[in-house]
Amino acid sequence: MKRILSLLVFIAILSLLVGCTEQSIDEKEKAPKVSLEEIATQIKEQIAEDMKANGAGEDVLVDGNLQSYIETDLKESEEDDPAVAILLEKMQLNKEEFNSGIVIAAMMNVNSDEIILLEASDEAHVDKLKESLERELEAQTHTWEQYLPDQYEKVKKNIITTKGNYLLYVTYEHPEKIKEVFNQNFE
Amino acid sequence: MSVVNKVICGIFLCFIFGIGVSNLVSKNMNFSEIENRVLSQMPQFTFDSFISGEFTDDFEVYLSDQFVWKKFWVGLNTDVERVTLKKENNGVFFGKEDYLLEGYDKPGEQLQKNINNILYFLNKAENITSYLMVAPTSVGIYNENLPLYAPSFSQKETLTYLEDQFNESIIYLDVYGVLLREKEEQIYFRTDHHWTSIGAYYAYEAAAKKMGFRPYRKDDFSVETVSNDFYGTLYSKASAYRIEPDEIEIFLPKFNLTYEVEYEVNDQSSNTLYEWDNLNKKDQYAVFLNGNHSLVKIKSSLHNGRKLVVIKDSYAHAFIPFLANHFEEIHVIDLRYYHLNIYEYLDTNEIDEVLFLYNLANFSQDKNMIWLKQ
Repeated sequence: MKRILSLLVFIAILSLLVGCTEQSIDEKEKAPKVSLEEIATQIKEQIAEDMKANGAGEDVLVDGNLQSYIETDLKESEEDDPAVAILLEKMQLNKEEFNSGIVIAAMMNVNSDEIILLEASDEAHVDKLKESLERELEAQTHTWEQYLPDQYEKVKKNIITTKGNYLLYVTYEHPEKIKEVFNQNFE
Repeated sequence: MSVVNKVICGIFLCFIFGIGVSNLVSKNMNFSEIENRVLSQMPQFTFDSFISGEFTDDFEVYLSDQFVWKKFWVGLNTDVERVTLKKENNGVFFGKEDYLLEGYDKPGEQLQKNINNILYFLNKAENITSYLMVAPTSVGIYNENLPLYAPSFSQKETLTYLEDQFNESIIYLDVYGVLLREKEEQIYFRTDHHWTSIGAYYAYEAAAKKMGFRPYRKDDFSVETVSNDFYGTLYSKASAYRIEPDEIEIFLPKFNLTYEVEYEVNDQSSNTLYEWDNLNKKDQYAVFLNGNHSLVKIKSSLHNGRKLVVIKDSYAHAFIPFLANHFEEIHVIDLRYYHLNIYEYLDTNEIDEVLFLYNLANFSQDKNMIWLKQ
């Protein structure tokens, strides 16, 4: 009896310890099977699917352009697309620190959806990029917290996640769906 | 066991198990009107979310959001805080005369960034006549209503600094003085962070000369009280129960003028500057111009050829109904949601006047004016 009890106590303590440890650091993943652009395409398909389920027409996604969203390639030159300079400055991102970066956000509607994909140029830059994403989350919080509780709710559910050198930022109605799409490419 | 002990024991058990059981059987709520926020729902269980700990985190939030008689407990908490002389909640001070006042922090680097963003605009759009109006918030005018020793930075000082920085490169519309002078009237809401119609009217009157029109007098409008149960954003933020609600007044012109209002994104249009349905919702301030939109176009029946773009925050909503009486077209753009090229917009629509209208708190902190740097 005593042994069983001590075994139980041992298990209880063990599970407590497991519960309290930081998330495991086995995130040292290899590269994904596809390019960042391809992941972005998959994500857009997921969003289009959700939009259709909500009653949007069939033409929400045409030639990779998602209706009422704007996509910015952060590697493009600032002259060609002024939004690049704005986003880099806003998040205090440094072009050398990532190989590719894509931002998908609402263009001119009152909608807090925002998805950012980044591929760090070096493992050492991952933390810095993550800081930039957290800066963006802070800015989104400030923009949305005052009114429009439904939009702010999405910001509160924001997910920032990392796989190896790859980072994902999601403000969306169902962020876990986007995260799932992202994660699938690393299995 | 004595009777007293049994009674104590009984109460104790009721409390522990009664509330537990009520928690299990009580219905989930979707929305808290008083706090103006969506409440968490039961999270979906997946193996991944359980392992990563997300499920348990979400579950905890769910439990606290859906706690039985939540409204009562939150109210009780506020009462206890009031009795124990707590003077602040979530950055909102419980001021004298039932005023809720949001403290104004000493501005940081964002203020300078925003000044620079507008200077960038002025430089790029050199053929445009530009105006700037930065309104103080209620704490800047009614700071004597703050509780003793409550910290709040001087808004007058910041406004003077602002004006200096622009150094006559923009037509600066000073409204601080006039608002201070008229503070005996209800120029700000007590429970909301906006100014009232009458507050906006005084700003309009003060700005008129520099903007080149003759303002209508107060008695050119009929003033109507459209709500007497308005609890605004500060009320939600501070969970400040037991405070009298605000009234909302609206200035309807007695003179003859019609408007056509177009909300671009949703393709809605309307012939009034007010959206009455919003008086039945939580955010009644949205009665002005139907709340937050990225782009709103207002055409009036005037034919004076004047077209104006207003780049703004929500202080503009109460102000624009006055302004609309002097322009043929007003295009209202909110940079929080509108991220397209503004210079192309001015060009295509042949607009040559721009008004920047913000309240000082937003002007010091907003991170979206960077969209001017296209």
